[in-house]
Amino acid sequence: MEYLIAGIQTLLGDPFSWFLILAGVFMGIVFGCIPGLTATLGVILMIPVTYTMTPVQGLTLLVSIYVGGISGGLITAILINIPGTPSSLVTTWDGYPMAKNGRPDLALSIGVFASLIGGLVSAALLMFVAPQLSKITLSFDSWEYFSLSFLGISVVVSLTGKDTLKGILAAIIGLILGAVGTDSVTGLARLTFGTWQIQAGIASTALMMALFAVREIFVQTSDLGQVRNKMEIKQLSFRPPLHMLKGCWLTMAIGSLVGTFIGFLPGVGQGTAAFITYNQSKNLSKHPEAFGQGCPEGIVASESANNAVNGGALIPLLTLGIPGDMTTAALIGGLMLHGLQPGPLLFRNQPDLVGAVMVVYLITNLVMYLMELGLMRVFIRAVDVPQSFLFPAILLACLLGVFSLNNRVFDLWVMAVFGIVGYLFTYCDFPMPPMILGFILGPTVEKYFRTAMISSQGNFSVLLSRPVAFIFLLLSAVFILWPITKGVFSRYQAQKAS
Amino acid sequence: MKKLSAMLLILALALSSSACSGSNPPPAASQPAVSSAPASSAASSEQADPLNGYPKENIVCIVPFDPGGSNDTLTRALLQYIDLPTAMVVQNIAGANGLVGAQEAFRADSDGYTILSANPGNLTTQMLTGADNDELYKNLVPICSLACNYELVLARPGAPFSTGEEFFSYATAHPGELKWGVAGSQSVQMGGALDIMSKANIQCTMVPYDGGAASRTALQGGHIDLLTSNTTDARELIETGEGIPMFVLSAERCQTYPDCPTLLELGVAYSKSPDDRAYWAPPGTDPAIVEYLAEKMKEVSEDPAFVEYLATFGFDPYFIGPEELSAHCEQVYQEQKPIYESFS
Repeated sequence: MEYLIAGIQTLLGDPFSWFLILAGVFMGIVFGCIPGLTATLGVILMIPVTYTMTPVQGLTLLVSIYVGGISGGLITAILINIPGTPSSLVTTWDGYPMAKNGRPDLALSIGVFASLIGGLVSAALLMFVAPQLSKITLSFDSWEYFSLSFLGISVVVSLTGKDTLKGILAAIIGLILGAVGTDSVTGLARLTFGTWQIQAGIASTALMMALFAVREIFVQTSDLGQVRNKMEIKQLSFRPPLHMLKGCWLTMAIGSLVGTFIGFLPGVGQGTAAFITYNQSKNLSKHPEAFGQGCPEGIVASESANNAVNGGALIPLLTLGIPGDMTTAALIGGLMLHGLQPGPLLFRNQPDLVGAVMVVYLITNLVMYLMELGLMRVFIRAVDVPQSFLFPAILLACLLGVFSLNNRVFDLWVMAVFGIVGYLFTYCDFPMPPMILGFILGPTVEKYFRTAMISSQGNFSVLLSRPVAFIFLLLSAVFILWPITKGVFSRYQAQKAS
Repeated sequence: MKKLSAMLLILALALSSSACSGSNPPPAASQPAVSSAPASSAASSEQADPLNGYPKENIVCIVPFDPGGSNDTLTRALLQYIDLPTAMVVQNIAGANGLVGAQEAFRADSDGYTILSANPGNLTTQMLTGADNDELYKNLVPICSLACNYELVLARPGAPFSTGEEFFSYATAHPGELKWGVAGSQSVQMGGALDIMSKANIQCTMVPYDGGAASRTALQGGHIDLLTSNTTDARELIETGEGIPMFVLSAERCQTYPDCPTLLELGVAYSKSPDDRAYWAPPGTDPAIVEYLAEKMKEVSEDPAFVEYLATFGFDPYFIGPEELSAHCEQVYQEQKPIYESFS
């Protein structure tokens, strides 16, 4: 606990850090809510700016941008059905319908409150049990990562919508897109057609922006000029909308814990955490048909999970020097700029820095809550701008954001082409979420499966001595078979009743 | 009112787009000796300046890996100590085991404002695996090598062996039982490990991981019995006792771990050149600029403060100039060629 006290003391003695927290959260929210600009980009842009600051100040600014950025995505996700960051994708499924039904303020306050709870739970785990949790990070090997990624993909089954065949086709197309690039197990190039720009695979942010931002703009442009319901703010208070959250507490707990857990497993990410939590709450809910029509549980599932991942991702970063997700990988750059080597010795040699980062993480979640609610009117007004102005502005932001990833025009072409492809798919009623899941998790599942098989020399019985992996695979089987068993069960009950 | 707010939104985005384009310059406080610039330009205007006032803007050094690795650490140290009128900044472009960043540098403008941090070992591997069709290591213009680190093999703390001799006798008695982790498939590390196994007549299961960080995590978690790493990346593992150094892969012992024997001393006829970290410029760069940069980097390599800083990261100083670097690259290529021919 001494590291926390040392951290608090460092922060109290440094008023500039307080300003940095406010500025960082605000900048993070702005980056998060503009589709095309992501939290990772915000952190990368600000790293050189931190050069003149002390290490604690620099990390304070970067962590504030991180928290604000991941949370800010919900704003445009709810108001215009375009997630500001890929982590808020699942929020669109219930947030936008609720906004269209005339209650955007309610959707926003539910989302922001869920983000706060997710952040607070992961902050508590980060501050008090980080070293113990990092042992779990180390105990995970290829079998465990394989089964966890497989669990993520098994969620596809419940995302196929009305036409299961089209959903599975979309997932397969996503898997093929994910296979493009250099295979990490054999080092051979696959499906690159000799183009060096995709040797590392199709840029995932470019593809996600294409399939969610660009495609959505094309879809909404087809009914441009039609009269839209004016979004009104009925009530705006800082008190959480507890009356709407009855029955959501279990979902919030699941989301926060699943998010923190996935956060400290490197490489899995906010999107997967949101998918799994959404799926799990839908399965456990008494009214699964309400999901996707604007039910609060859906928003809570997504937002509590994606914010909890932030705290979880900081755990392996601070205790082991291993980044939990893309933005914490950028934070490593921030640490190294100040001559600090992230690794197991960071905790030992710089306890005040580590403690300060943890305390800053807690504070930024609170600041994020107050700031987002306080600026709500501004966001809603900004989005009320006519679509013929708004959409080109968003497209411009997407182009800028994708270009600044790799400074390559090729990525912009990827975004344009897949934006059009995505629109054609939507026109033919292909669902997008399975395609994205296939693209993100397909290569992960494949890589870990093959490494696991190499490591255990083709021996499946190793699973029996790895209970965690075995349990995840069982859960995946449950998820995949759930629609079938539920259908059989309800038919049986209907028969009994009649 | 709506049109006004729309205009303000567009204006805000346009301003932020100009901010985005000017990313990554460090602020003025990091530039050393700015005040001496007017004096030196006054002196150089007396003679014909072959450099034409280079450098006038910041120099971007592309590091083809994610932040935190050896190349990245070394380059960030270099830019702290190098004495240039403008600043040098790092741009991380990771992907395809270093190929994407190298290709970016290969295609960059040859005005001297983009350079690349790449290792001869990595560049020659890219050609040998067929990933690189442009013969990067021959066509990029070499500037110099700055430092090197040594590859070594670590044992897991609970393993039934903790020295090189114990390892070889255990491996001979238990073929196929031990798991040997390496970073990258079809990489230099994997080729080296296979070569050692065939020369020492032992058999271990090779487990390729997606990068050095993943392989080190696997050792920490006890999932592999031994790990090929280098003196920079393995430093923390050794200090915390989570990895026990058994032997180095070079012909001579290294300065950082002088007690660690070489394979030759253990009776295995395998050695490889240490992993030097070099800097390159795009093809067609002015030789005067290359010489200038090599001079500046040589000064850094001789700075005792820099050498001391390097040691804390596990690097040994190792400077070779442009011509020797070319020859050295060719030597590394010939060293690795038989390994890759044995893969196919």
